[in-house]
Amino acid sequence: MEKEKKIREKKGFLVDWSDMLKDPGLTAAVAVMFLVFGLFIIFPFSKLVILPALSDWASAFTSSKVMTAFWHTIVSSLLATTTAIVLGFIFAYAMNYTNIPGKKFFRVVALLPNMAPSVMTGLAFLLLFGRRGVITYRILHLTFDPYGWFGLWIVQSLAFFPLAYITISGVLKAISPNIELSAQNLGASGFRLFRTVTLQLATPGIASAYLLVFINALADFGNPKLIGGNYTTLATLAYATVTGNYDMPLAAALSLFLVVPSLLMFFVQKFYLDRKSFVTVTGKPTSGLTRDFVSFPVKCVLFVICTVVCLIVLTLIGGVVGFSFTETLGVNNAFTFEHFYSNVLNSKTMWVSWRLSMIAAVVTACFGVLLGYLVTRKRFPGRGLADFLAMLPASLPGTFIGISLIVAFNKKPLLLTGTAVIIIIGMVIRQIPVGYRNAVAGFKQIDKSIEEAAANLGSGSVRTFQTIVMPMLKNSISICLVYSFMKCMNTLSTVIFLVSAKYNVASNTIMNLADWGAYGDAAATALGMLLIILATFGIVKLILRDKINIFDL
Amino acid sequence: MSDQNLLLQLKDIVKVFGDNVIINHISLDIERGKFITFLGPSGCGKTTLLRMIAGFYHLDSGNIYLNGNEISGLPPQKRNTPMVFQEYALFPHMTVEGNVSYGLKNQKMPKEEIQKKVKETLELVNLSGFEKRYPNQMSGGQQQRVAIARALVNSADLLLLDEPLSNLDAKLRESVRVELRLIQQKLGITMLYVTHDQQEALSMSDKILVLNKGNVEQYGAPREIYFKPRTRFVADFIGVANFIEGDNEPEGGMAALAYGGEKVVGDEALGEARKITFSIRPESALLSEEKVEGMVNIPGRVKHYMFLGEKVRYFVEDQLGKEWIVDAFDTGMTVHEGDVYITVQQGKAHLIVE
Repeated sequence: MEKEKKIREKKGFLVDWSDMLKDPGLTAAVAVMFLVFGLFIIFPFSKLVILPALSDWASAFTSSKVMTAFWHTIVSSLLATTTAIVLGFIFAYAMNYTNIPGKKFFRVVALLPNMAPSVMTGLAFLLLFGRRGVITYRILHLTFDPYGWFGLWIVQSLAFFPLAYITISGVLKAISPNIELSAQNLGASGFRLFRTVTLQLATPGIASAYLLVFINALADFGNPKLIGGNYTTLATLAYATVTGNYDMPLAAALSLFLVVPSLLMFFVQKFYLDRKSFVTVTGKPTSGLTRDFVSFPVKCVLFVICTVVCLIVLTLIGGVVGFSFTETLGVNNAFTFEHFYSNVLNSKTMWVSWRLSMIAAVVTACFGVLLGYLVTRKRFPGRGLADFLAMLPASLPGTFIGISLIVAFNKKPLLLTGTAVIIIIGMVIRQIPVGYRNAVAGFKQIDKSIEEAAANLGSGSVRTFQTIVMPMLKNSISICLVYSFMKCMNTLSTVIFLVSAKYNVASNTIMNLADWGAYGDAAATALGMLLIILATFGIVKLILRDKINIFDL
Repeated sequence: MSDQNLLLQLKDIVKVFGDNVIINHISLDIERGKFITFLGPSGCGKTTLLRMIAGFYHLDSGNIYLNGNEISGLPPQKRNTPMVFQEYALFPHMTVEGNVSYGLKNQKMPKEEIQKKVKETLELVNLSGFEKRYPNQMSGGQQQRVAIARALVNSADLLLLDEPLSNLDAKLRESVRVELRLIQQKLGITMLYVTHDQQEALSMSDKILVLNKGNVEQYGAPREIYFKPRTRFVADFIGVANFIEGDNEPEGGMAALAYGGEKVVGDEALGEARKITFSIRPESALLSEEKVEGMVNIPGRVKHYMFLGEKVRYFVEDQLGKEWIVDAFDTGMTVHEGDVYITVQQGKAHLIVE
């Protein structure tokens, strides 16, 4: 027998490398991508990690103030996340599994808290239920102290339940009704059907939603500052450390404290939940089949819960509206347009917020599509790394991102602190995972053979991207644009460290105004942001003529 | 590469995915102006081979030459090997005109010329007047024509087709088959056509390449493949075959073997003493109540039968326990039952030496 050398599959780093070099457009795109990642993610993050010396760590660990804040953060985030997830699940279940009346109304109201900075919820709570709150003090004559862990818990639960609802709703939608119908066909019904099929299938998705909400609660800055009182959390402590003593090494250490629990959850998700996942969240829902498994008493309970939650949300927003247009609601109820005029219509900060968020949203959408295209469709060395880096900021608290940017860009030649650019960078980094995931979902809906057909007809990477990919992703990109815009407008924890006198953002103003007791102005600012975001949604929806469903609800 | 008639040459091609050899040292010369089919069961490597020619997969070894130039290292967009995809892969955001002109625009052809070519090509596939439609406004068959037009418009010498008819219903499939063959002959181009449907392969091709597990089983004209299958796999995959095996006992120089007390003489000469296999097509055998003089007569018993319209297919068990498939044509109302003889004309059994 002739001895034959076994031929192996040509794959791996070198093959990818030589492939990439054959396509100049691809090479350039990959280079740009890694340059951006290197400069704005790897560099600042590593700079932050090495900043605290051993002695800084020692003093952080021995400081009772730090340790208390650490446990406060963990406990309050766990509490708020748990209630938000429960509420979100109930809502999502009611919307997807029942035909209770008023679903459209519930949907819209449930999303409202998400369309303004989370601090709006805290502000409204203070105005209505605070020490001098309109409801607790003026109407009911109670002495209720909202400051502390309890008030924070309620506020954060309400502020974050829309996020939980949106995420879990996506998970429930992705469960094919056929599976539940076949369970019914085999004799399961009622709670048994729910427990053995629906809940089992949704669990990995709910766990991911838990992670997402937890990270947001962990890093949240506005509400702990406003409601927490003496109940300090890591985010507020880090802020005090930066603005008070300008002790950057300690602030860096504090933000790393925040990273540990979220990275822990990130890895749990990646290596445990992903393997257990039964439903792909991005999967196309099976349409045309209605699920009707819920008994009448259960529907009634769901209806009552949804109504109560929505009434609370509406009351809070009503309070914000009331304070925006009166001298001081409850004390002097005279109508005034002054708050709204000076804080929304004639406000430089609002305009800066809008502009920076728009720019950040456009950059995020473009970069997200580029990333999604490269990772899902192209082979190049470092593809796995690119995927990891694109998803990394999703599991990092905004506080951490903000502090890492000031640490990295406060010296020449990389002096960016105090500019608008650093705020935009912060916003973009925070939103990259959203843009990326959105683009990946879009690409999964386009058959790969369509791009192959373009290549087959003589089209290079760049031209395929321009003529085939972009036009086909138009709707998906628009959704990403609107969503990122909303998130950028509302973010506080990321940008709180990056704003300057010249470039301040409206979410920060709400908090400062509330801190000074200028409640009418704070309320008007919050309301203005809510209206601007709603208007932006409306405009995009008008342009795209109902072709999109922003939250896929 | 002096042979002017040679369009495409595959030289010792190998493709490996992980530990699986998908394409195992395949070499093939393809001439100009022919309709060639890659035929095989799913997983045999036929689509992989086609996609390697188009450049969507790497070669792990070997070379591909188109018109004498090596193309194995080129990216897909530099090859000019237009392909019709199984799922059509039309650009949903472009009109028919946009789809068809896409390749020409990539070549930066002048506008008037593009218009002219698009018009001609759409006429060729009977789609004149559909220029402004979008793919989702058309039927499956029309979309298929757009996909074909889009690939044809580049006027390449070679057209690749990856199971293009598999999404069409049976009637439509047959008419598109005929049309495709006519277009191929009219333009004088070479079409490489992937299919798992043997009927399709037999009816359209100048030559068929039968693939199995990454190996070439046979490459030849449809008649050759059908009547002179080189391997048991080919005989079995194309149509239906009855196999009998035994030691070669040549008769008058022709291969022959003893089966069930009868001597069966094959269609080819073989003097060598070795094990051989004969393949007998169901239509080459007949059923008879009586022994027939001058034929091979194998006694058996009818197990069951199926009425298929133009023929009746019998399943007959012989005395050795082997089940035969025998087709009877133009049967009228007569039906064979019980004990029968399977009769085969000497020389109809096809010799397979593996």
